Amino acid sequence: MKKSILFISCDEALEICDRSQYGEASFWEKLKFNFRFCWCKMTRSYSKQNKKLTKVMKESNIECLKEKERQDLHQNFDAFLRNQEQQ
Amino acid sequence: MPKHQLDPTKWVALYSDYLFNYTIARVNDRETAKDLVQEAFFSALKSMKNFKGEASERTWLISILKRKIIDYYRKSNSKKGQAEIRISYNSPKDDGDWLAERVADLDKTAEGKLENKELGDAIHECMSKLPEKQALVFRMKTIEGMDTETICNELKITPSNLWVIIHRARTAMAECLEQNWF
Repeated sequence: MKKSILFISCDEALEICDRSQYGEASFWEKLKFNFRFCWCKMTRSYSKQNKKLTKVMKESNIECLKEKERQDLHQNFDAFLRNQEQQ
Repeated sequence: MPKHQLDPTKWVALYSDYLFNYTIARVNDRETAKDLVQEAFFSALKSMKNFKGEASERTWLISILKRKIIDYYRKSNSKKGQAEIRISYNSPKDDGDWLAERVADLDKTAEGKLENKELGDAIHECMSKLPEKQALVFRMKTIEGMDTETICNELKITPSNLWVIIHRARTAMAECLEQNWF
């Protein structure tokens, strides 16, 4: 089946919506998304929920350990744990 | 039999992010926060026999961490506090209601900070309910802000895989936060 230039499936729209939350959707993808957004209730609802999540994540200023820091913590902790068990 | 039991082998995987976020919101310094979390884990290991099993593992770890944070502030004593009190006002015209303004500002800041801490707690709570891989990818992409290519290379997944994982994680996070926060 020939793929439409402007019409995209709901799954595609949701993926574009996700990518645009991270600034990774192209202009053309956004255009196709907006076209679907106009008539698809599910796309609109997901988009609303997704934007809300992005806003909350930004506002929270949440921090977490970087992968390397977590590995270091793991190593130090495991060494301490082994040491405790030997005593 | 106690309601809760301890399993230290899972502590770092399950609670390090939550404890780190809890700490950094209170000490504002990444290195100090990392050290305090590590110290709290070590202290917890040493005092495992004191765990009565009434509180959850996480609550118990937080109570130990709180003591570590208090100790940290005691040690760093009042120098910082004194510096913060010295508010410089450039002109005498500013004298008026400066104290009232300052108190109002502090109230607003404190309120904002408290709300952020609670929101941070809610986000970590929701993230802890995600499957391990979803939580990892969501954290790397959303909190650490890593680019797609780096994550894919590190985790050996394709970009399509990554977006499927992100989609599932975002849906679960939004539903969870809907119940606990929004």
